[in-house]
Amino acid sequence: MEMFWRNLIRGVLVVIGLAPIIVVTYFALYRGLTKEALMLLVGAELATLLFSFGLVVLHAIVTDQIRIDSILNERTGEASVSRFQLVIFTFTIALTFVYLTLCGSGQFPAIPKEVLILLGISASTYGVGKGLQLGLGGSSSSSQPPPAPGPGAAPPPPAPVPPAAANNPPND
Amino acid sequence: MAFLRAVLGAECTVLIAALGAVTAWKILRAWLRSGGLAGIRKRSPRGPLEWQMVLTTVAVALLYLLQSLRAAGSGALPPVPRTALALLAASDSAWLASATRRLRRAGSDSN
Repeated sequence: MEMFWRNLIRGVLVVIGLAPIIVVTYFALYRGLTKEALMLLVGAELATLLFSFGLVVLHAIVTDQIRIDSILNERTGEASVSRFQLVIFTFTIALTFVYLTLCGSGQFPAIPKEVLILLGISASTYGVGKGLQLGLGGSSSSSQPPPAPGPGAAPPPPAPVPPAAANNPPND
Repeated sequence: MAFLRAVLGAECTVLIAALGAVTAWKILRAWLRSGGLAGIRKRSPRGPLEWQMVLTTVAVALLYLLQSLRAAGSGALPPVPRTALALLAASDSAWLASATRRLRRAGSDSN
């Protein structure tokens, strides 16, 4: 059953990818292909290709070939606010970029240095936090549970918490 | 070309919306499968500094999105106010200092 859906999706993608080529051939043979029409069709072909790439990635995410369910977690399974911040700012600036490109004159929008500083602060926080965990938390990392198994597997047992770390408040 | 731009815009919008929805669904499903409300509570921010960081991030992101809606047609991304950058840097620095102290204490205790 899974193979059927996989082949069906592949077939649909091939048909979608071939459609602009068929249209170009039809116009070239029977309608006389102009330069503007050719530019439009090449653009449509590129758009179709990009959309197909996006669909393939999306399909891989849905079928758990690409796992993103722990994108906001630390290795211990706890929340990672630095990852959360980086994801939020990346999506925000990417969405703004696409929006301004489409609503404007189609030119590549200028990026102010404040936006780069914002992304730099966020990425630096994530990098430094990860380095801290790897460096300082390396001695206690052997007691951490392994990465989560597949979606159908049973949940792992809770990680043993060092008594002193359990008594400490998280932000003091 | 306007038609092509509309098609590209629709494609980008559909893909980004689908990616966001799938990501949110996957994360929520993983949280619920790992113990229901207890799993969600385990994966929630802990302590005032983490909540401050989350709220600062969401506030700055929302304000930036609102600002960019007004700046449509200007041909440039809107700048982020210096005060927002300072707020974010202060919040992140406090969180890093707290995380450093916590991890160092946990490391020394385990030794």
